[in-house]
Amino acid sequence: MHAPSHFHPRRPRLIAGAAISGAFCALLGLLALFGWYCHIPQLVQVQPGMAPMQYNSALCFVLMGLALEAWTCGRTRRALPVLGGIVALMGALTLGEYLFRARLGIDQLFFRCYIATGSSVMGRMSPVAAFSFLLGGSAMVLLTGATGPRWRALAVGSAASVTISISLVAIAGYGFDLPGAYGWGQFTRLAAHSAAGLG
Amino acid sequence: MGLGLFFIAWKLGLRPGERTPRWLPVPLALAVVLASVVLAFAFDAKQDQEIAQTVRAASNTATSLVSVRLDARIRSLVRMERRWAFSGRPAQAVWQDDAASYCHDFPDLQAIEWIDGSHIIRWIVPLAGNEAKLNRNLTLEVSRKAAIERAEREHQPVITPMVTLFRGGSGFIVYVPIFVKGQPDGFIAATVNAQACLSRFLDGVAPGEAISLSEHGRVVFTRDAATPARNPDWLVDAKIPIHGTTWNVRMWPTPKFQKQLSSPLAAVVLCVGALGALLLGGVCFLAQRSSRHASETMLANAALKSALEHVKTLEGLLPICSCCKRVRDDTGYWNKIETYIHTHTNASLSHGYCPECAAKTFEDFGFDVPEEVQAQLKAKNFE
Repeated sequence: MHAPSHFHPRRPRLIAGAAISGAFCALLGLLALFGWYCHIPQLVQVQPGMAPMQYNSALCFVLMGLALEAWTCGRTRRALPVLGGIVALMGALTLGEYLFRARLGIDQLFFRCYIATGSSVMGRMSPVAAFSFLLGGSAMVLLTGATGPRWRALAVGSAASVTISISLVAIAGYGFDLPGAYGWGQFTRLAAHSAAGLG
Repeated sequence: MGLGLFFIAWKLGLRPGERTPRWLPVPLALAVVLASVVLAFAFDAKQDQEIAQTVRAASNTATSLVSVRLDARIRSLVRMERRWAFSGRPAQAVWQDDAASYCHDFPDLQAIEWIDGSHIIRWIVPLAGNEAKLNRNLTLEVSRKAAIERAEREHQPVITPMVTLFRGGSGFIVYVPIFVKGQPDGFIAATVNAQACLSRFLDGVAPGEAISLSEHGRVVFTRDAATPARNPDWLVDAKIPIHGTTWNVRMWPTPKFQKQLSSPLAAVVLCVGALGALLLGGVCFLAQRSSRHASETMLANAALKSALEHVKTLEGLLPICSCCKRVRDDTGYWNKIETYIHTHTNASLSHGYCPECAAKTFEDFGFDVPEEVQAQLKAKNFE
């Protein structure tokens, strides 16, 4: 297998960082999915009383992880728009549900959730996660193809910074008991490990 | 996820020879601004929650105090009824003395009355100011009659809904049925002015809270309730169920108390965040620019160094002949000055005439010295 076209021999650390981040993301999502299927609450909500990582969030983490791995392997033409598009769509639809107080039936489309702690609607991912997935998925779609517009890096960098910032604030919220930092309004709260995964 | 995307963006944004992408200050500042906004909202929400908790605690205190103090008054009336039931109907003077001491102990009681079995007010303490009530038939008053009948039916003290008192103002009446050897012997009634009674009950309780007490939507008592709550989350509603009626209590912090409880932390976080974003973005931009300038300077220095290595310079003493101007080299050979300069520097010489030699040459060959040469001789621009 030859190196991807965008691989720069002098910047292997950046590629490796993206690969590690993708692997962590996918692993985190897979563990949560495993927890949901096998009824292991520790994998889903870390501690009793804490908000769980919703099934759709876990799915989005897996897809985002795969998308990051696909980029590091140079498979940007087909994999990125599909994986990123699905993630962005899920984020956008969930945000739409919150904004328009609608029920589109996507919250429990793939799995019937059984933990309601910290959830405003059963199975619906938090608006924090939905917003981050919308940004992340859109950034992935933007990365399609080996070349792109010059502002592409700025757009992806901004999306990444916002996501990292949201994640750090949520983690700080858990650390300093600030529910407003990981749960916007009265809506579903972001799980602690989701916050770590977003970062 | 965010880090992975950031690494990719970093990778894509790099230009040859640069260590950081040029756009780095923008997302950095954006991230700090967003973090500070979310943190400010979180602190604000936390503060609202704490204020709501404070109001809730004050509401619990106030409602339990009203219940306990009102219950204490009702128990006093019940004790009076017990003595009546045990000893039989007392002499009017004895009862009035007893009732007067109760009125003394509980100044918020407007009057204590004995109502006979036909629902007519027979005795009243204090009489002064209540003369009009004496011998009044209560069967004509709907709410009073209903309460009396209920007290008689249930053998328990009953409080009327808020009524307009005979002496004016809004208040309620506590009716305690008297049974002597199982036979009804009238009622002991205590008339209470709601505003005066509740002001006394809540004096010094939750001083920073506005209180509104209502019954069936009719407001019967207010304290500092002129300004509504700034945040609907701070409104705390509670119910006080008391002997046949229920009072609704609504409490919220007064503007002064809101100011005391409010912390500027959220605003400080927002300002510091905005300032921090500006500083971080600025510092990052300046660092990148200085780094670029440093790189450019280093490149320029390297180019100069390389050029200097190729420049030949003449240094030290050159032995030159005073007459023919030949120069002696290191081997002792006498070179023409043109040859010597050509060999030891990168310069080459082109031949011509200076004004003096040109004039002499023209004269030697018998020609007139041209005006141009003469002008140069006059200018004396030679040694």
